[in-house]
Amino acid sequence: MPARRLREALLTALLLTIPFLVLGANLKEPHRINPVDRFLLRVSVPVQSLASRAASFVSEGLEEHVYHVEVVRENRQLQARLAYLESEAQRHNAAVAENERLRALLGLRERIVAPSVGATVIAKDLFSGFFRVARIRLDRGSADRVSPDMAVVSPEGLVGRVRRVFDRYCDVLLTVDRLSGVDVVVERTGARAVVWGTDEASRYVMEAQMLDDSDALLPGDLVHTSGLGLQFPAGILVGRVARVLERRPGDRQRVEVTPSVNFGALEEVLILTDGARAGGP
Amino acid sequence: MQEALQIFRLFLLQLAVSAGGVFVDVGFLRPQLFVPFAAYFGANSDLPYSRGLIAVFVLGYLTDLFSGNPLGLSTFVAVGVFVAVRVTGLRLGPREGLAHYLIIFLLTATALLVGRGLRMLFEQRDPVSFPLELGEPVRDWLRLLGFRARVSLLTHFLLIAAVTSMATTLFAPLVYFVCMRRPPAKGGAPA
Repeated sequence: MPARRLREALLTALLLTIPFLVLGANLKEPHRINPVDRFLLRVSVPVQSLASRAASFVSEGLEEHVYHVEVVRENRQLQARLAYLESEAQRHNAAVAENERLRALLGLRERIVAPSVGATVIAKDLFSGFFRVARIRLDRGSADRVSPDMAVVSPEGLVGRVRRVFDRYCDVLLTVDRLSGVDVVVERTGARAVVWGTDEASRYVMEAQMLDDSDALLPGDLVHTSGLGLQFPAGILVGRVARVLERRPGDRQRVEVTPSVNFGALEEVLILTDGARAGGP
Repeated sequence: MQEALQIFRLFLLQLAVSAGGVFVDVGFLRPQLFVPFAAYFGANSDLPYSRGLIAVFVLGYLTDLFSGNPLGLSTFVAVGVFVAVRVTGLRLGPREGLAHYLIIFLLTATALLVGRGLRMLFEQRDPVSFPLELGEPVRDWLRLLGFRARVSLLTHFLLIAAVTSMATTLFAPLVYFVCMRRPPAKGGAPA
């Protein structure tokens, strides 16, 4: 037991003396270094050099990691900034598009020269399964002196007519609705016809029926309101003949008409508050 | 082998703490994690004296190599802490309650003072000039807190020692759990 204690005491003394001497050799001014210090420095320098290289390797790795973290953080900030600028650009584009639509609407109002009230589409009913608009709702109602059967137009052409009116909004019957019928005139020939909605779920399409085939219709012919029937002012574009469905010699002819209005993109319209008495464009 | 693994864990912990200090920009507050580590080794009566002594010697030497301290400083302090705890038979560990934290605080403060004393002994510098390198941040803090009076440089050092000891004490339980905790024994208890 005493031998063990002696061994431990010697080891303790040795392990305290070595660092003490090494520390002294490392901290002393050069002119105070003795041969023992010189020996300790000579022994410890290679190990210290190796360790400093290892430490540099670790610290450089750490710095690189910190740099990487900074880059990632900056990247996130730039992405957020980019997203913000993109949303600003989208808002700007939307404002420009809205401006163009309103300018067109203003131009339409000036062309029509009739009492009208501007309205915004606030809702669109879609056919289930298809992205085709079945009905639209406007932000004008009886409080704005809107009443049923008033014509609704857009810069692209005839939208339809007011069907139901509420206090602050109204529903519009579109020209493509099965219940819609519009008396029209073919621009190229001056022939009259009636355009009916077909209510097809998957596309916007109308059908025109003419009472005789004396003036044959051709695909591409433009169809305008005739002003007859006291519903719509004359001269409003309704659509364009897409194809001939039926033509019997000496009898009626049926053609398919594509509406001029894109109901899916409709946002602002005019409600003509004076019906057929309004002057067309 | 067990001691080598524990030393390796301590180095990882020290690295994580240092990196955390860099991130939150309090790099001058360096918890001296090797002090509680050496103390826990000293308090572990199951560990043979010679093995523990050699282990803390290696730990101190590695700390010197990687910390930028003058070679031998941490080695001397680590061996000193181990011997002091073993000879006095102190019981350490978070379960010992407030006394444990107090002992770690006092050991760290003493180790810092001894280290500073050794530097003064060998460098033979003006005794009041040594805390300048570490004292500046504390002096700035004191000014920010409204202490307009001139505070002596020795007070600066004592403040630094107190703050560093406090930081070390706060990290001591982490050192204990990361480095000293042993994995549960395999197999069930004997019938």
